[in-house]
Parts: sequence; C-alpha cells; structure tokens
Amino acid sequence: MVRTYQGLVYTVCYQLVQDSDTAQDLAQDTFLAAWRAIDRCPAGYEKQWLARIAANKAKDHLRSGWVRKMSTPGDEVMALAGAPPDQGPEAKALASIGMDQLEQKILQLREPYKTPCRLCLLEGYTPAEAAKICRRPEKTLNGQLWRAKKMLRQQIEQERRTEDGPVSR
Amino acid sequence: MDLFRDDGCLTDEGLQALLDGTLDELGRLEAAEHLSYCDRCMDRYTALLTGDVVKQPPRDLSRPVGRTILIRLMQNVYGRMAVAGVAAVLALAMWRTGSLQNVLGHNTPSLETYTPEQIAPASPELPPKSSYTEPPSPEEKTSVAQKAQEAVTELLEALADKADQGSETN
Repeated sequence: MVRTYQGLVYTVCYQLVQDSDTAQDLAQDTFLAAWRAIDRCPAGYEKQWLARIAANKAKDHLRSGWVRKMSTPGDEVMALAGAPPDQGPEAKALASIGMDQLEQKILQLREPYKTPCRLCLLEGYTPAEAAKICRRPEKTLNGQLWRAKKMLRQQIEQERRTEDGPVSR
Repeated sequence: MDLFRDDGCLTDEGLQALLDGTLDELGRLEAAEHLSYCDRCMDRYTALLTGDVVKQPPRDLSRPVGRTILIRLMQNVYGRMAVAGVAAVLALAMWRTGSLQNVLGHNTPSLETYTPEQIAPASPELPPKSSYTEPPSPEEKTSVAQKAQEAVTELLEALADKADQGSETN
C-alpha cells in the first residue's frame, strides 16, 4: 500500500502544507495512522480514504500553526472547547456594534464562515446544532467560528481606527 | 477567486488553485478542513490527482514506515513477553516462599476459624481444629522451581532471538 500510494499521499500533504520536509513527515504519519485503522478502509476507496487521512494530518498541522500565529494565550482552548459567549476581545468587539451592523458584516463574510456565523451569532443556534445543519464536524465549525470572530473583530477595529483618523502628536 | 461555493463546497477554481499551489495559508487550511469531511469534494479532488500532478516523495516512504511499524509490533510483543516473564518469576518466588498457597486460600485461616463455636473452649478430649495443610515437600518444590526456571530461560532466549532478528532486519 505504501509503495502504491506514497506519491498520492505525499502530493496531498505537499499541496496543503507547501513544504517538502513537513509533507514527507505527514505522509509517513498518514501511513502509520492507516496501518492502525486498516480494518476501517472501505474496499475500492483506498485512494480517497488515504487522501482523507492525509488531509486530516495536514489540517491539524496548519491549524496548530494558524492558532499559534493568531492567538492570544488561552484562545486555542476556547476555539476547541467552544468559547463562552460573553468573554474575550472578539465577543467584546462584536457586542460593541449594533445588531444591524453585525448582521450586515456577517452576511458579507465569505464561506465557510458566513453560514456558521449566521446560525450561531444571528439565529441563536448552538455550535452543535449549527454543525448538524451545515453537515460539518463540530470541532471544525468551532474553529471556523473562532476565525470568523477574529476577522470580524479586525474589521471593526480597523473601521474604528479609520473613523478616529490619524493620531496627531 | 472564490474558494467556496454558496453551498459550502469547494469551487473548481479553488481545487485548481490547490493543485497549482497558489492558495495562501488560510486558504489551504480551509481546503484541508473541508476535504477532511466532504466526500463529494474529496472525490473531485482525488480524480484530479493523476499523471504528472502526482509527485513522488524525495525519499522512499516504504522503508521508514515499515521500520516504524516493525518497532511498534516488537514493542508490543516484548511488552507482553516481559509481563509474562515477570509474572512467572513472581509466581516462582511466591511458590518457593509458600505465600502462593496463602493467596490461594489453602493456608490462610479462614473466617470459619474464628466462629464463636471454635473460639469457645473446646472439649479437652478433642484436639484443636486447624486448617493448616502440609506444605509441598522439598522435592516437589524443586521440580516445580526447575520447570519455572526453564520456562523463564526459554522466554529470555526467545527475547534474545527476536532482538537478533530485529537488528538483522534493520
């Protein structure tokens, strides 16, 4: 299996992480994970099954890098566990604008952020309910919500800075 | 370029950008997240991974993967054998000290020993009751001990053989 599919698995990893050494490591991890779960491999779909494991490995790698880059301490825990609704700088930034303005901003978001934000922030669904509606894993949806809130906060802060104008010395 | 359609799936341009390596880090993270659960997009994506698109890794993966799998299997086998060896030595030690029979209850004074009838002074004609049984004779102990030692020796030899095979394979 390794000899047959190593090119495919390495290609998936490389296209997602864009680094040869990391892709090689992730491809190796992919085959080890596949070996542990080989009894769950659907017959005739080995290619898709391996590519999915590889995509998962690459996703975990990219997500940890992204979280490290973007987070303040404790953020990543909130992102995975579901942040308490009224805590953190993002929640404060979102609470500082009116509901109409928030709705407008959420509807201007692109996918995959618009639908989870609409469901959770405007229509009051829980992340678990929204994950079912969107047919996404809850952990994925929580991560998308976390990033979307960061994007919205950045937008709001940038608009404030623009409204305040340059600081005179 | 839009990476996602309104229905939440990847666009054809998005998939092509992933193949071409022109997505930024956030785009690649979003694509990886989506491919990790969407069967339709995974089918579309793997259908594009043919011919020249597929790159071979700089180093062959079959050797490191095979080696890691072998090491994990050996760790598993060695772990079990070590547990079996320790259990055999412990059983041997317990047998030789006679505490095995205590554990098994043959030699342990049971609660019945302390029932009021027994604690009460028995008639002087009757000898006191005892649950004590004769311990194994020295010859019996020696033969069992020899058998246990032989078993442990065999285990150790099997371990050494496995280790030799492992080093030859590596």
